[in-house]
Amino acid sequence: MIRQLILKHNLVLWIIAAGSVIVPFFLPNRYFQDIAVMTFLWAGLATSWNLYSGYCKRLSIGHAAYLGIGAYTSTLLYLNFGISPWIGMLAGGVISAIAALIIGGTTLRLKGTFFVLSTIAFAEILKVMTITSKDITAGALGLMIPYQPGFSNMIWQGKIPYAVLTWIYMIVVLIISVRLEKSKLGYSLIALGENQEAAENLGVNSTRTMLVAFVMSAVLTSFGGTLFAQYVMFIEPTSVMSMGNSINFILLAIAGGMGTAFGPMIGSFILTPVSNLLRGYLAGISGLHGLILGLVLIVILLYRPDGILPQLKLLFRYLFGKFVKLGKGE
Amino acid sequence: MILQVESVTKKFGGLSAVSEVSLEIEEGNIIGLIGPNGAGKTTLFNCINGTLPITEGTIIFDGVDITRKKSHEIAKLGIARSYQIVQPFGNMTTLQNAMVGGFCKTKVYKEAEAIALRSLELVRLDHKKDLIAKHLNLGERKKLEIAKALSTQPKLLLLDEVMAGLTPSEVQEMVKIIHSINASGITLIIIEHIMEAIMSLSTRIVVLNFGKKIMEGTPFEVSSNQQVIEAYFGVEDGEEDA
Repeated sequence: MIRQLILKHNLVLWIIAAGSVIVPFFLPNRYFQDIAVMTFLWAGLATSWNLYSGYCKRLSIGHAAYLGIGAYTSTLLYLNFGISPWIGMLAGGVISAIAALIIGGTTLRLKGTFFVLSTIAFAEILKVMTITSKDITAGALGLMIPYQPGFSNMIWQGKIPYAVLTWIYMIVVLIISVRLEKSKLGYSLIALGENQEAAENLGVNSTRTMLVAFVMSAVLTSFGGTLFAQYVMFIEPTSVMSMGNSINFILLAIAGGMGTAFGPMIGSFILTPVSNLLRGYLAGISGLHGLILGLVLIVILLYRPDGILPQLKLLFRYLFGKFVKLGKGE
Repeated sequence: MILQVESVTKKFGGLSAVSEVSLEIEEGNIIGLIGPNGAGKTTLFNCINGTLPITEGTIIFDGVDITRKKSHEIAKLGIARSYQIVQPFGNMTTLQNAMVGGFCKTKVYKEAEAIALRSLELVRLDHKKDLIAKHLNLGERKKLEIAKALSTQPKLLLLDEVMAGLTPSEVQEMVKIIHSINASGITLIIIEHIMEAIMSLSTRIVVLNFGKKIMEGTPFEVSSNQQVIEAYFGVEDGEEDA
């Protein structure tokens, strides 16, 4: 029974995901707590990205656009109309859903490289539009959220509440992802990623399946965008909607294990702290942290192209498979 | 009448891969579709199940005009097919592969699983249900092709050379499987090059050559027909004038 839980239902991974919430409470200072917040946030974001691109193997290199929509919608509503970011987050989700419907409706039928290019184009266009619409978005100057702590403002004094909030976000996306894997939508998506024609012949409506997943992915990413804005309290087009952010979604998911519910989370749990710590401790030589991180990624992709997660699972199987067997006295 | 194909033509540029083929298929039959390489057999399958848009003609399935329908809609109406070149979803397990088809007519996970298990049992692949599909051998992959198609709960099943490349004993097993599929009430059209198998399986046989239907009849009629023999073996010198 326990063995089956561990091997079949990813019990260990759930324990890691759920247990990670206590980590920030034991971290000595704000610097490390900041890394924890970023790790949870990016785990949620990469898992959101994975909902579409990971399962059906069509890379979106423009998810920073939805991050931006989430961040700007809630911030603009808060600054101009005093609307709580909690409601702004939902509004951002709605706008992201509409954007994803329009963009997805026109580009999802594109194959291979052309789809990838169209996602990049959308993110870049949105970034340029945000920079040029100075009257609304303050352009390249960016928007500052005034420091007024309070639950309804989604602003707190310490970093711990943010860590808990981003952890909840991560868990919610993770639960959606795990449930998706057990649903018609999930099966259809994975089959589409493997072989579109064969899937269609089994009754999979590829256009609808992809559109639904794409919208889900965009909306969840947009929620993360609001959290990002409320945490950093300063947003500007070039940092929020940068190509670097778009690529970070993919890196974390691929390193952890693309097309698996827990892969992107594992990717973020390993890479986000590593990259932040390297940046902190190797600040003396500029660019060195990037070099080392790049090397780590190359090694992962070269030797374990399906990511870290399958290796972890093998390890669990080895460790717990034996352990539980002994416990049962088999 | 479960399927009516009325003078269907499929052109690729100037070339007619299928030209003015008409078929009428009664429910419950096993129809053999034979012909030399390049005769247009697979193209005809692709036209019937909506993978390729047809140039001219109409196809009526179970009283519904499916000429312009998309392949996923046709699958929902009840036509399933297997591929000549097997197309498993390599990284999914055998059961998950079949479940993709199982979700065709239900949204409930348990139901899709039950349907998929039943079709795996029918093709005798249930003992490999938890194996990742890319680790199956050719014979098992051919069976999986059929199981995936069966999981969509079709009324008409199109099988494209499911016996090619199998050992004689595997061919025998496949013949039994096809019989049991037919016995469960599914009409079949099968493309096959193994004459022994197709002659024993089919109630009627349709012969295509260069995209045209040259003959239709019982296995005995077809195998003794001069035109069919010529299409397969060619014409001897001097015979052409006769």
